[in-house]
Amino acid sequence: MIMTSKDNRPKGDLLDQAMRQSYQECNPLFTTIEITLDCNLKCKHCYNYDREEQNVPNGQAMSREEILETIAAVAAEGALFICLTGGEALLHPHLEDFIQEIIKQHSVARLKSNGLLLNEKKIERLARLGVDLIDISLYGASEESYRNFTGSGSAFTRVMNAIDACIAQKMNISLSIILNRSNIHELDAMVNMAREKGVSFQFSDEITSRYDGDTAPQQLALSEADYEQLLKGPFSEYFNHYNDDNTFQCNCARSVCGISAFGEVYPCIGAPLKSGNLRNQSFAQIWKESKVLNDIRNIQKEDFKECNKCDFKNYCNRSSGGIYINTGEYKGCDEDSLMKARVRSKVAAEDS
Amino acid sequence: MEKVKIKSRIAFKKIAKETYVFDYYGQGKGHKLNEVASFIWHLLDGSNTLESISQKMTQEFSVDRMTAQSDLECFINELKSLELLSGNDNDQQRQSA
Repeated sequence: MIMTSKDNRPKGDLLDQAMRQSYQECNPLFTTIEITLDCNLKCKHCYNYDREEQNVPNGQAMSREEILETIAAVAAEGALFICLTGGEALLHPHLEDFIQEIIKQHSVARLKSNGLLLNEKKIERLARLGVDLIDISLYGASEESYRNFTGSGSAFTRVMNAIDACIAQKMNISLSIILNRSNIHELDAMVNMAREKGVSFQFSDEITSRYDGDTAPQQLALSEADYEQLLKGPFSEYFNHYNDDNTFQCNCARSVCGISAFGEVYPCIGAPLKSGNLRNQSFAQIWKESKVLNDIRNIQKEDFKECNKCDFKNYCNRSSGGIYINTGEYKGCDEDSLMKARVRSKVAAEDS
Repeated sequence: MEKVKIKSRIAFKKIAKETYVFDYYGQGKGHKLNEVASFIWHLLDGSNTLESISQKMTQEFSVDRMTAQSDLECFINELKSLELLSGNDNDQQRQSA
């Protein structure tokens, strides 16, 4: 047999193998490209910049041609899944060109979106082009929550309509529930909505500083009491984490890569360590030779000095990218990570 | 001389010596190709004849011409049965739909 295995579930075992092998071989299997910083919402937690203040970062965003070249370059290095994000990816006037290029490069096209611009016609078009998955962020279960968090008065209804339209057209979607202090009271409603519609979902409870250093979004992060409530609530399985083997390293710079709207290559879109700019070097060169990326790949368990001596390390689910944004230390710790590990440990002790 | 080409909407990437193939837009199946299959797969871009591919196989691997041709034929038939190659009737129907 030349073909060594078959899998009726491409998102199952075989993908796990590809992920493991990509980690070992440093293959950027999951690459996210920020195609625009423009957005039609003003989310309070946005890591790009404070959209109320309009402190738009300096720099010239990548052109259509530069993004097309970037797609080809990351695909050539092994990016099987190319996720286009923003800002709001659907605002980009050349989005369809990018999707076509991803398919042409024999990669899988995915989008991250707030969902507002998804209507029947747009979904049909995206499906026809070959978009495999749209990951829609969910910021609440009411118009009021959306208004408070995103600054839009009608966004919730539009997002619900978009989700229904995706389901009707069999577009593969998942919901990223962005949990924070302002919407945690709607957790049940958000989960019930997703379950009733039969849509997969995951939680994101990590609210970091902005990439420009503005710490304001952290005020929205879940409190210790919120987190304890989550761990004792009906969805505790999503928030519990056992790190018995004390793994502190993630997939950054190995099977994951991120590229900013300005062409900066990052070890992950959530870990903005500038590793090289595509305007100065090729992606292949940066991916293989960047000191920043190679330093991350060479991090050993003992390099996480704070983690190794932490009393709560067996419950730690640290995100090196988030910690880097909040503290400037990739291998360090931050208050949010420590708090969550501490609460997990406490709740586990109470349960035993 | 027959030239064979992979369907345009097949996602695949080579990781180390193996190639992962995901037919997301067709049968929804995934496949992992070993080193020899990977070598052949990446030559199936429509520019190589089967004759030239089997010749390249003998240069790359320690196999004689007959064995290479036999393995290649077997692999191509497998790919055809899985509808991973362009030119299949089903492919044409799907693309025109």
